[in-house]
Amino acid sequence: MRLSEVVFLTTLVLATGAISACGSAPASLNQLNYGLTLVPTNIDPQVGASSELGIPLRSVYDTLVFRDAHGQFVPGLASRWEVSADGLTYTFFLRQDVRFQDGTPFNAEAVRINLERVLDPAIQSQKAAFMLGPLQSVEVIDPYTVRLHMKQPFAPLLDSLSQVYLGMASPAALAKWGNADYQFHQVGTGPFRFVEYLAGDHLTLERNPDYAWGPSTYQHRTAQVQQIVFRFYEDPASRVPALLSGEADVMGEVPPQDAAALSKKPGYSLLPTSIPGQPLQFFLNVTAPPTDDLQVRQALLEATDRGAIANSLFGGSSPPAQGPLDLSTWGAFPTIPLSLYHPDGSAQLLDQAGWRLPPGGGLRNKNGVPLELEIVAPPWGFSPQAAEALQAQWQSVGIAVHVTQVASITELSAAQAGGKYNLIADNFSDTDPDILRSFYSSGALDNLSKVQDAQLDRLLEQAASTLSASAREALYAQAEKRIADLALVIPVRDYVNLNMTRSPVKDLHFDYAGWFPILIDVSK
Amino acid sequence: MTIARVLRRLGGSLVTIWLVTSLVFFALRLSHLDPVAALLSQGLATPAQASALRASLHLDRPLLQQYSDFLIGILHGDMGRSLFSGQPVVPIILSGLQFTAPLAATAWVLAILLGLILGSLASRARASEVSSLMRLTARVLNALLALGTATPVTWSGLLILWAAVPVLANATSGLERDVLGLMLPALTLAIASGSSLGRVTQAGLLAARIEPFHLAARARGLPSGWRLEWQALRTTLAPVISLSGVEAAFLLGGTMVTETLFSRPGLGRMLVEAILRGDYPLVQAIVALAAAGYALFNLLADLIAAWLDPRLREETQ
Repeated sequence: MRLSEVVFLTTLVLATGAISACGSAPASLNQLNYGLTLVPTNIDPQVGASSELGIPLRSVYDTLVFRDAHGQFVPGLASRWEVSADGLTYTFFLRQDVRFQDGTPFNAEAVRINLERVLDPAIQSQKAAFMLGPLQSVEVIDPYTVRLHMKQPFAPLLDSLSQVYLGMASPAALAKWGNADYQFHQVGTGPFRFVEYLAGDHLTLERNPDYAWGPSTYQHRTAQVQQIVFRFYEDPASRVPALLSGEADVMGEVPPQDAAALSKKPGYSLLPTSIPGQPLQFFLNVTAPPTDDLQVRQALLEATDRGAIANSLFGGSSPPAQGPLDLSTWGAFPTIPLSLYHPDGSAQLLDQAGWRLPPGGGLRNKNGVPLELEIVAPPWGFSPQAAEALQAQWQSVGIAVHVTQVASITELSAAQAGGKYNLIADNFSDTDPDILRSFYSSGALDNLSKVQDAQLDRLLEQAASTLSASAREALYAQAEKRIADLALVIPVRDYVNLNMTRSPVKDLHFDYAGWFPILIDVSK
Repeated sequence: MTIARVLRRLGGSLVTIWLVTSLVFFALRLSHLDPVAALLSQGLATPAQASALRASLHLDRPLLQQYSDFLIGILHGDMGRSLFSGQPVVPIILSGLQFTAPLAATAWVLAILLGLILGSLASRARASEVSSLMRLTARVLNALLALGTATPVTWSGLLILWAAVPVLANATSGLERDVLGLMLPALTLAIASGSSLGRVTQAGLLAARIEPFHLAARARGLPSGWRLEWQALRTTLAPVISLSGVEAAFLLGGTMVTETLFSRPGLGRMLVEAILRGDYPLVQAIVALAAAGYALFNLLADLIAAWLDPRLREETQ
């Protein structure tokens, strides 16, 4: 027994020594290790809908236009474009010097093939097809001129054409691999080449040395790192250990407390990035009692200290939300300001609505029925924590809250269809305020507040079909005011993505959409 | 075990696999998980597009017809395509299996080794022929084994992840990272499963050491040491290995947690994601594979146990 003890301990010591002594090979300076979070189901940007796939693929594809830091449209694969006065015809004049990464030329025919593929029902596009709106047909005028015909004016079209979901893929590669397999062999015109994707494990990109047609938003002509390997870190608890051990050089969506602690260590930088679109928010169901009463909904808004919730959950990293859109979005207005917080006013409104506090305290009731609310929260975006914060705040004004956490987007949709909730959390990022139409118009699939308001419908439809930017802004101001007046939503915080890098990574910047890094400029 | 018995076991396993898969088939479709809603929820589609998609996925057909289509498909070797990625299900599963199989196998072997070694050491708490240091170690191990059985894998996994940070920081070659990527989650699972096996070993050894055959061996002059220990251990080996077959269910479930925590691809993580998205064909195929794997693990464990302990072999008169 003694001898075996000695042997066992010696082996243990030697093994530990061996592992820690093997540090001789220097880390590759030309490989960047990027940490992603959720694994997308389908990484073909014309098919899949997740933002995660865009993080690597934004740099594999170019788009017809790009948006600069101020939201202005700048030339991309199209060197200029013309829009007809009635908004029904878009003509793009394409660059003539662009080649796909497989050597085939980029031209108007490629644009037609790509857009028709997106609209083909066979590929079941989850996002790109809807971004094209009422697109009717694509016409090739000459080898480098392509015309898009719309059934009706659609203001978000240029914004859609600036996103990775409508990036231009090589027709030769599309034909060679077929719809289901193409996602593993993607070919674009961008500064990085797609090397391989092992589902759930890693995705590898390699520098495209022939790249010479980047937009003005790219500071460099070609990529600064040779190779980027993306790995997935689904569990938030695993993200900081990966940064600390050097397994990842860049990490997205670092939990706020971990980010605050790690950013104090030398060699680690925090890059908070605002994401335009909808904030973390709770929709109020206008068809389910007691939230079917406008006074009750207004009272709930006034009873909520949103600043306190944003601060306690996110430290100082996220501003509290003040409207149905993040204030960093073009067309967003603070129609639900923090100054609405007014506990006394809230109590008054509830009394007026008939929900009174019994003499000894406790729950408010009306004709013997207690004031109870049901909140449905999905697991992402800190929704459950925010729901619990609302529960705590509203309890102090005599409202009982029951929080149901659903496990996935399928369950969230099921809960939505069932309609038995007073509040439900969901949000979507987007650079165009037309996202509001998908959530607040009467017939929309995601009409979570179940509102049926003709005035709101009209404003949102008009804003989608008006091409003048200033006219659109005015319409959105009115629409957002209407949403606030009807008290359809309680916005909590504007989305800020906490990215962290470790030295020697430099010059990591994100594009206008917020989620997607400009990988051509990153160096290590 | 005779060939006939093995064949009967295999036949029983097939029935189990069929029953489990059918149960999951109906449970998925009768639940409120709607893959069409998930497919379209981020695409902001119209209700008309939702019905068109449902029809194209055959989800609007009567339940029994879907079931018969499914069974016919299996007889032709077609387990369907993932509703989300469009890939045929079998290659997806094989790609996940290449990561989960080594993890489960390593965890299983480590669990048995840990269980036998630690259980055997822990059983020496009151032995008179060992040093007091060993007796103290044995008492500590006894407590640790109890703790190991009770600790949730999510928590112990997180501790191991953090403890491994300096080791990972020093591992710069691809091979080292691959080895660590396998060993860390395997160790997490092995500690939890091995603790149960260790307690069974400990109890078995304590019983074996007072058996007449063991006392006789000592009286014959067999020196204290591994040889004597091995003699006592042989009686406990069979139940421990049989138990490890049952523990296989824990290992299969544990891969879900460890694969997510240690960012390792595999069937466990794939199954969780497929369930959350309502990807019916993928869920059915992984569950069928899990049932088959469990049946196989158990059969293997029982075969090894019978080989080790003749008392467990079926006698044919």
